Order: sequence, then structure tokens, then C-alpha cells
Amino acid sequence: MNCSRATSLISAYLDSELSGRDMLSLQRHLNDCGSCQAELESIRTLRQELSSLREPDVPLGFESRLREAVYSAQPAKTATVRARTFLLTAACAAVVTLAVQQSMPRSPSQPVYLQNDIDTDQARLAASDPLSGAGPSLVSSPSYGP
Amino acid sequence: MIDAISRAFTKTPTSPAEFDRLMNESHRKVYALALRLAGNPTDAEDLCQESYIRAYRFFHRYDAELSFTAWMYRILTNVHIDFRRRKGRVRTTSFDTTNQHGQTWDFADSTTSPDRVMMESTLEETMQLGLLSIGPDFRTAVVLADVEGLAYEEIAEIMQTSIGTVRSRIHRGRKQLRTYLEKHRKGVNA
Repeated sequence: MNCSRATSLISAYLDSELSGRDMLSLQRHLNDCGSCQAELESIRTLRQELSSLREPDVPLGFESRLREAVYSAQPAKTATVRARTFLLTAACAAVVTLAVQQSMPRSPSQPVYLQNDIDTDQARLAASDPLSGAGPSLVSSPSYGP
Repeated sequence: MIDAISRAFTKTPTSPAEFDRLMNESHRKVYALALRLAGNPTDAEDLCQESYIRAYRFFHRYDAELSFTAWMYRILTNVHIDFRRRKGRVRTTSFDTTNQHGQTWDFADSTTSPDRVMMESTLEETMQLGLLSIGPDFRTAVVLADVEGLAYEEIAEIMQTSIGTVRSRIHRGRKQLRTYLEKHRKGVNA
């Protein structure tokens, strides 16, 4: 491991966020490299300074101003309100669907042209079946000459 | 029936009383982070108010299995980004000349960042000035890691980015902060 790679890993090493392999490589490098060891100590000191910053006090009257700002703004949508909205939307959708269905003209069970085709086919089958009793008059056989 | 559907809609109690309790528990830590990010008490309070207003409005999306403070940190970092954008749009700097009517020109100032504007007012601590001197993404990552003591995974969740990006921001942020402190402390000691 070279120094450039080592210094890029030092922060994560101090935060215990390195994988075992990288950690071992870095530790080996640190044992042999004084400048990277100094870098490690420098970052360690910085971390300690930052973590020792005290939590600031909130300003006087902060909490009351916060509450006033929050509760005077748009109210939160509660679960009950959302459930009512959901029910109302569902009811509206059902009414619209029913209305559309009622307003549509009733269509026949099968289109007329399809029914004609079925009748013709049944007549042709009956004509070709000697037991059906249907005469050739139902279906005109094709003529091939005068 | 409405009650049954309400229960299906919620993972957590979303009553104003519950929100009030959570706000009461978390507001000191949220204010502390806001102050570290913004740099002065006035802006920090504005950030807090805007963050809690958003939190209250979207409280039904909060999952009670997660930390409310971490959820607030996430909202706060987003509000801070919006805040800096707004501040950046309105900032002007005086130009040292007058036009034909004897009036002073004002131009948009491209050299001052919004956070530097915040810094001008009240900050005294060297460390806080150092934090404000580094980029806002680096600052947020460093503060969450070193001041708040959060793990990289939590920071990635709050900043809505990858752990690799968090690692890089912390590394670079600390180096920039250290450079600032070295320069400043040398200047003070000289």
C-alpha cells in the first residue's frame, strides 16, 4: 500500500468503517510510515475536537415560537382524514362507473352479421346430413352451367 | 369502518399529541445540527421551524420503527439545501461606482456563498468558522459523523446517498477543515 492510498483510508479507519482486509493493509503501512502515522494522529485530534463541541443552548422562547410556527401552518393529515378521503373517492368512482354503464345502450348478445353466418353454416350442415331431413332447398347448391 | 381503514393506513400513531411529544424530545438536537449547518442562531431557528412544519405536514409518512431524530435530520438537510438556494438567489454586493443618475449599481455576487453570508453575523468559534469554510455537503457529513457520532450507513440514509460518497465527503471534509484550522491558528498565534 502506498501513502496516497493509506491517507485516503485513514478517516474510515478511525471511524471503524474499514473492511478487515483494508484495515490490516493500512495497519501494516502505518507501522512502517512515519508521515502517515502523523496524518492519522492529526485526523484523530480533529475528530476529538469536533466530538467535544458542546451542544448549544436553544435561544430564549425558541420552543414556544416553534410550536406556534408548526401548529399555525397547514394541519397534518390524520389517518382518519385520509381514510375518509379514500372512502369518498371509492364511492365516487363506483357511482361514476354505474352511471356510465346505465347510460350505454344495451347491445345484443351477438352481432347480427355473426348470427347470419351461424344460421348459414347450420343450414349447410343440415343439408349435407342425410338424417337431418332438411332438403336441399335450404341451401342452394352451386350451379356449374346453364 | 373508518377506524379500520385508518389502522390500515398507519404504521404509527399520527396524532398531534404524539407529534408534540416527539418534537419536544428532539428539538434540542435538531437545533444543534441546524446551528452547525447554518452558522448563526437566527438562520438555525428558521431552519428548525421549516423542518418541523414539513415534518408535521408529512407526519403520516413517518415510520415509528425508525428514529424520529434521524428522520428530522434528513428533513433538515433537505431544508438547508433549499435555504442555501434561496439565499444564493437574493444576495447582492455593492459596486464601487455610480451610474449616470448618481445611483450605486448592485450586481449578483458570485464570489460569496450563501453560507459565508450566514457566517458574517454572529459566529465566533474557530471550529464553527472552519466548518462554514468547507462545502455544505462535506460539512453535513463531517458534523453528522464527528459531532453527532453517526455511522456511515445512517449518514448515507440521512443524506440520501451511498456509503462510498459519505466516506469520500468525510475524508475530504476533514482535510479541508484541518487545513483551515492550521492556517487560522497560525495566523492567530503569529
